Amino acid sequence: MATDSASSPEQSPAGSGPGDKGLKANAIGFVSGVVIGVASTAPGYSLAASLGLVVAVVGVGIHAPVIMIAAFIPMLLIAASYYWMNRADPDCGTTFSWVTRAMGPGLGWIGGWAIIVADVIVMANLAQIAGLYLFLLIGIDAPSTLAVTIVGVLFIAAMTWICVIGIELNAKTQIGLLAAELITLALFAAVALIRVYAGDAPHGSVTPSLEWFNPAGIGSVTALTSGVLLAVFIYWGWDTTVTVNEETEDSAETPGRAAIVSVFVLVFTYVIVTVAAIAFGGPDALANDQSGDVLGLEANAVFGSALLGKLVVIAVLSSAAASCQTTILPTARTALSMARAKALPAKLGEVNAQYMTPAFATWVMGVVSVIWYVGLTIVSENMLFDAIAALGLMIAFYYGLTGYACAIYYRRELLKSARNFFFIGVAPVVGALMLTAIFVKSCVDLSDPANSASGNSWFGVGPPLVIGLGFLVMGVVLMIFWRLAGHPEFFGRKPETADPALVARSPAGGS
Amino acid sequence: MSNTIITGYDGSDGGKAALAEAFRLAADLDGNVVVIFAYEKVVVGGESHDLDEAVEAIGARVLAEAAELALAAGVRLQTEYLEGDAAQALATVAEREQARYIVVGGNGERPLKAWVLGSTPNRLLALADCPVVVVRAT
Repeated sequence: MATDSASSPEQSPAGSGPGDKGLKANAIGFVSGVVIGVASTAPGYSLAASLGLVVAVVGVGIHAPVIMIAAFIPMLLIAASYYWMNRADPDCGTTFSWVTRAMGPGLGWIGGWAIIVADVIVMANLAQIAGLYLFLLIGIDAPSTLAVTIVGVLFIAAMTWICVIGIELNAKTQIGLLAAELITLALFAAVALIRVYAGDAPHGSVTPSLEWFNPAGIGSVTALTSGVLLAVFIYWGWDTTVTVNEETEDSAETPGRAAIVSVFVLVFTYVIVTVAAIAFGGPDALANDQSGDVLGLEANAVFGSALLGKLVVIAVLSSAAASCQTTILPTARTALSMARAKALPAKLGEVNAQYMTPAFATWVMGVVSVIWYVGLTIVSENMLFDAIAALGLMIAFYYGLTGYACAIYYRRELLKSARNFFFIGVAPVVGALMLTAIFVKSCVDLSDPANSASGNSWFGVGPPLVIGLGFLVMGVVLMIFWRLAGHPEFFGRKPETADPALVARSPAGGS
Repeated sequence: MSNTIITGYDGSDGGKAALAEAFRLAADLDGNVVVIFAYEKVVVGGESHDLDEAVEAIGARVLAEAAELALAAGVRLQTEYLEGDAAQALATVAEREQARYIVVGGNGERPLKAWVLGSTPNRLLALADCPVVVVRAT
């Protein structure tokens, strides 16, 4: 006899249904939900990486605050599709699993590929920012490319290893770090604005005006789409808030509210810091510095003290580390999910029995990221710009795909109520159309290298286009190879539609 | 106080050593053993459904292994799969069962993680109401 039952409500067999086996079923509260949403987006790092680039787009300049707000709209609409698709199929493959269900295995595979590629691309950027800001921290303003790259590679290696052995910050530490990050950014913005209004800011500063928020002030459609392409990235990761609903206390309400509150925190932070940075340094100074350490360098001037300026540097670094973790973890899980669905080699679906993490997939992510980072640094003169714009293309591609998938998957439910029609149909499709428009317009614009801020030309077109489309084509080729190798369990799957019961359940206010 | 022995088992060498010691103690005291597999879900990084499923499969396999070993040793065994921190899980179940001892493997398996986050035996010292027996893997 192996089992002495009845003395416990949770006796064997082990690993039964997920219903009542938790010590703490309500793991994530409202505050933690907000914190995870904001921390996954990494506001400090996102601003450091993209602020200078957005201001530098010809025709944007002082209108960068409008771009920050505009970029958020398609993301909010797509979050509705994340919410509804996750409700139908909570799966760490996210876009991969959902698009496969709604639109078949071919598009699903490419969607999963785009997630992995986007994460690899952003790792290069994260490593670069981490390298630059670590040097700023020790007082070196202009380190050599070689030094930054070495530090960046070590940073990727360390973060990958942390994910492999399964060290995660607990909720309290995360709340503390995020609070420190937001307070530092708020302090930076407040001091910068006070000094601008007091006439105490350096030469080149400008007083903010309502005109900065006037969308019509943006020079052209190209300027708008180029700016938004760069800025979608600052909200990237926020969608995780709506997909952790299973664990949240009162899961009918919390994820929706947490997602919405975290979005307001983000939009508010981005707009305030953008306005303050432009006002204090002037648009030209921001635009001329595309090295990515603009926030760190400006912080010294704003606080008038290298020591206080270091606070901003530390905030960006901790934000980059958090972002690194929220990049590696979901990518390894996407690979795991794809492998378990027979869409990738089975090895990637293995879970390490010692650490209970997808260790192999995580190491593969780390190694590929290092190869990409070092390779891009060698061939690209302006790595950060190229990486962020290429990343914008990837995000627009797979978020857009997710939006269409939602409406297609739920198509039979859409006409059953006005709520279904608008939240499950119209919102995701409008979001997807906006992202498709940005994707197409950006591809056309980037086909002329003069339109990329770096001005580099690869094969006669802008590098971000080569990177973005190159990876997508590579994905199609790899998928064809995988298909030729068999795997009918995956490629034989037929599109499905949503179970009406999913919609009939009470609305959860998530969209 | 019962003669229940609580132990954690994850299939590692340290876990095997702890399980063997728990069986010996149960035999000596004419008690029974509750073996726990605890896994704390990772809340960052969004959806984790497939990973959790894979870990549940590992947990089920490992607990079945413990059940077989108990059968061979002639020990009464109860298995539990719990979500949450291992030390917390062991202490909670020990309190509920009014356990005599908690037996755990010395944390030689994951020295670096233990160094950063604190090892399960170490944290148990602060959490457990009953004596904690730490067994090093041989």
